[in-house]
Amino acid sequence: MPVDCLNVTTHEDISLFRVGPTRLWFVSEASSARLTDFFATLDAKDAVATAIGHSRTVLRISGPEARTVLNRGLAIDLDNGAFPEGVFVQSVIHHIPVLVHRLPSSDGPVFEVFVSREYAVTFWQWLIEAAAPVGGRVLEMA
Amino acid sequence: MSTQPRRLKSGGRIDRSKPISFRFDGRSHTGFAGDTLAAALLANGVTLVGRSFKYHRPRGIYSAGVEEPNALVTMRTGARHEPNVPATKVELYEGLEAFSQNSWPSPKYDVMSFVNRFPKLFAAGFYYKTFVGPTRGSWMFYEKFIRRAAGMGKPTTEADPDHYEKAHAFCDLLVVGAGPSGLAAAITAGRSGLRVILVEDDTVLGGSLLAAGRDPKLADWLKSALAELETLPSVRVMTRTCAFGAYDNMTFALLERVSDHLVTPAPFQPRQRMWRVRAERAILATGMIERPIVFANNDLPGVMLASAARTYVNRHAVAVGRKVVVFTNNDTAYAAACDLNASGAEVSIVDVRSRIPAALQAQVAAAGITLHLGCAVGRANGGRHVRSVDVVPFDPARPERASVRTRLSCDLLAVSGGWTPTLHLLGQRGSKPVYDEDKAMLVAGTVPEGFEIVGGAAANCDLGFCIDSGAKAAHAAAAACGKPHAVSGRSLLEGLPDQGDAYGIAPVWMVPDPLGKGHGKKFVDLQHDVGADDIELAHREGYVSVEHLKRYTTLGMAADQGKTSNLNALGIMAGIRGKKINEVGTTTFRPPFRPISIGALTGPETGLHFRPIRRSPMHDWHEAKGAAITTTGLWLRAWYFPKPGESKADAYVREAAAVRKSVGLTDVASLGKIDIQGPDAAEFLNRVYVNGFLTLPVGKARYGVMLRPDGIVMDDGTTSRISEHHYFMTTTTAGAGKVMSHLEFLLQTAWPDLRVHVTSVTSQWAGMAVAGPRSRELLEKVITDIDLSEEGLPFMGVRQGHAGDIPVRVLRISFSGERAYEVYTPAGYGMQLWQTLCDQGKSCDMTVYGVEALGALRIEKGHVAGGELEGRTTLTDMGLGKMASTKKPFIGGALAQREGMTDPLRPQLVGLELAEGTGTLRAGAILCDPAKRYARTIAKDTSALIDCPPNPASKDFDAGNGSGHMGHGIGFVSSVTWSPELNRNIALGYVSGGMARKGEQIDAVFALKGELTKVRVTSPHFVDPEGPSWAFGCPSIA
Repeated sequence: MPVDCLNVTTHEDISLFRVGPTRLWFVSEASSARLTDFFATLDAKDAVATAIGHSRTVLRISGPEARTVLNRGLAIDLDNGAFPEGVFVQSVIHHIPVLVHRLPSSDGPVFEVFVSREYAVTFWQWLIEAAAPVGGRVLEMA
Repeated sequence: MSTQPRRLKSGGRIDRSKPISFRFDGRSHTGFAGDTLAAALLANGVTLVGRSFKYHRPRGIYSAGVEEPNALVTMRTGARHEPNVPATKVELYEGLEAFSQNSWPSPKYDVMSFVNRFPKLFAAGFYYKTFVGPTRGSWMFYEKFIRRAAGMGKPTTEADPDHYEKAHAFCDLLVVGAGPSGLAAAITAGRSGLRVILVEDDTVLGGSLLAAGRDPKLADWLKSALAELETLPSVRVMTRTCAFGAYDNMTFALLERVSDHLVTPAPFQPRQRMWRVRAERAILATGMIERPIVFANNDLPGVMLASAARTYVNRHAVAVGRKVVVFTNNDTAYAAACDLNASGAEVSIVDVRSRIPAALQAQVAAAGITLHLGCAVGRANGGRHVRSVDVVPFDPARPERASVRTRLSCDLLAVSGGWTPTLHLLGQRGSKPVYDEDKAMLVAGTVPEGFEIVGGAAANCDLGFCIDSGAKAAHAAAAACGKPHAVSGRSLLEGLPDQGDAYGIAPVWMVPDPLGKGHGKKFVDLQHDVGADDIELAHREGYVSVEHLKRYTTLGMAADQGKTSNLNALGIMAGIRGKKINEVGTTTFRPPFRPISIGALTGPETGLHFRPIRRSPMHDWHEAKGAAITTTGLWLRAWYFPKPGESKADAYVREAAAVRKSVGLTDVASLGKIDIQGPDAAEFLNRVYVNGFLTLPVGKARYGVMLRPDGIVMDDGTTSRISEHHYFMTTTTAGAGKVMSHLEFLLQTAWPDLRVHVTSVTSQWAGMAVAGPRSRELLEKVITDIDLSEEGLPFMGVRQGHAGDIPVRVLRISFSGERAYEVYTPAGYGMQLWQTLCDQGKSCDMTVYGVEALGALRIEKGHVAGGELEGRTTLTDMGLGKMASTKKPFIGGALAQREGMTDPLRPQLVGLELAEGTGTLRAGAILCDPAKRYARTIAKDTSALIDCPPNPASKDFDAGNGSGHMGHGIGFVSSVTWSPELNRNIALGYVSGGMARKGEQIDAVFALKGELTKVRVTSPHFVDPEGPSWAFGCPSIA
């Protein structure tokens, strides 16, 4: 159980984000039988589970200028000392609510940005424009 | 092309191997890399660069920095044309093109210069004095000529082609200014490992050292300081960046001029970048600005600040004068005099003091400089350039008019009236500077927590002090940030030349006209053409407070914000009032420190990025099908789907008719959706909705309305009971955010004891409405595991099942009045389900419809939506008064009982139709009682209210809005549409008396277009009023 609203706790394929005093996000890359089983055991008196997996788009941003690009819109200090691996924050970028999580990495900083699905296109457009001055280019569109 | 006749053969911090060609007023010149536009113009002998704001007087280059009041130029052409840029702050680049301002046909022969001969006509407040008569409308006549004659450059009307960025940065220590004290602070803090941002407005670091004399020790100190700076990894250096604002919680605004030194920005690069820096501590090493002295004709080209003359000689190797008079009241100008002398100029010094330090006297004697002590420059002479100055005997303690003692010919008059520490950022934090009588300076008053003032800004000219103060402040900052242990380094005081930077001064603000020489204009604010006479006038007319003086004369209100004029004005006003400067008051500083382009403040939030956009999971489909798109808040919604050749009206009428005839499909993904769970969820809903929710069975939905605490309707929607403790609420698109906040607020503050959790699932679920007589037939093709029969899924029923393998939640509710369903699926499946419905819909004659048709359908049924839920209406106004439970309390219930809320004459929901079959129904029209028409109106010529005969042909009939009606009327039109079902225009509106007026004919006035349309009050239920209905007669969602 995460004790604060700053550090992500990870168990195998599931990460826990404490996004509010009484609110947790369980995040896994694919649907997890463990999670489904766990939620089935919840008694509404103690806790309830709400599926929001379809509501977020996740982007991963890495590279030597990752901090530069994010700080074009994110008013959060991403320096190693202030934002080490495993830390997350909830903030806004270009008026869009985001949750930014720094992943463990041995190869420079890697950030995950959780964006509400309906804002994903607008966020992507902002992102590629913010990345252009430091060399970010869209090479291929699926 | 000129050949830089004024360029010195050697010296300067310019790169002579990089000549740069540029154009000024269409004429080609060359300069060198390292020049500013001002320096390059002076090197080319161009000293007349424009005409002044009001009097069209010839003006030259007055300073070498951000304080420049005179040399404003227009940069670039076409869409990048930018007026009012100080030439002293323009970095020279290849291909630069600049133009002089406020002159025609040229600064040399300006036709408007005659204005200079009528100063009394244009004194302070002249708008209100000279141009008030002869008739009341005269000002309107004069204004356009005055505006054309006065002013600075003109902006372009073309769209800005450049891109601007915003950025955030964080640091332990922000050092503003990279002169000697700023460098010392940044190096010291960097040695302690502090994260430092060092900001410098100039292109290169060094500050005053860049303009200092030829002592190699200074150059060496700077070189080694810059070298060490590069070795400190935690120090970030930002040049071409101005810290222009200081805000709460140690937040600073910076403007980085990324590409202003280029013809156009490099590919993908912004023109400018605005930074928001959050710092733990800040050191202001912002230096000082030299002050002028006010005397007759002190604005002539060829008159400039002594520090500027020194900068042009030492930094830019420009011989700004061959025969120079230095006019001073303090010691610092002697260094400038010596440097000018060393450059080959013939220099005289006029000093108001009768005694100066012996060392200075020896220094100037050795240099062969003529010294006139106890004298002042009483007047500068010349047409378009200074030719000579009249020297008068002068006692700073008793400034009086005196006869001219001698006339000195010159081509440069370098003036120093002392120095003013640059304390704008501190002032912006609310710390007013105070006047120090001994130093004759405005110095920092209280210094807010987190700030340190060092170097020249701390009112000290001594280089050793500046460096030491920078280092000490950095140590203090390191200790405050918990990093007191510095990596040892050499003392930054090592290797400094042994120079006494004394600052003896005899304060002088203004020198009176010499006797027998007539009255000369003495400018205090050069940029706004405000003279000493204007200050005296303001005083005579009672504007003695500093704040009134400023606004009456416009002193200090130009683009330079009075950087060279404020203190002189205070000194002159204090002198007139016989008070001390601190008693008269000091000025207030506000951001920005220097003008900032609107583009930089806007950043990327323009065009596509003006605001973020929310798209439904099916949005791409709508676009691919050529839908017209409209916005609801931040959402893009499909408005209508035109077939080739169809207008908007054609398309939505066809779509709405198809829904009534067969079946339609529309995207309702933007509706707010809230997941509500917990054992107390029913109780919670029962408290927030006006109607009861305790008895809602599992598998059923109920329409609900919630009020704001003040009793006004907040929003409506449906809530479905999914399981025992699980509810699914929908809200209007526009109301989603406020309803979610409202619910969270109540749970966290009013009822923390309720075991309920609310989660916004607006983006989790895609939603689509299937409506029309054949809607069930279509759904039965798609959804196989739900019994959709009348018994299986009755009206207001809710079921969960699958469409193929896609999970769906189906609500049988209707907005259009037809048999209809809302089908929800997790958003990732939205497109797949939509496509499946489209495919299967072909055999059911299905039509996709947009929000315009949705609007038409709901208006036909009298269902309220955004236009009716507009923040002023009560439940009773909407005709839903009976919905409110009398058996339980609910939010807003108490205040809804107030007298004004229950007034039977409040406007209430009605339907409206054209009474005469013609005219236009418009949302927003004011409904008026025809019996009160023409009763009073406005006479055209006198604007008086008069009783008026009911005769539209009367000359007095046109009552402003053209309708003959005045005031707020008796109601308003909220929504309008063309009804495909009824084949006529219909509308919803609120009218006082409501349905009691049924059948009455009233006036709908649309004042913006001067329209009056006769409408008839009818029932809001236009279509099938007896048909299937919801639980409360007038349900709605939108």
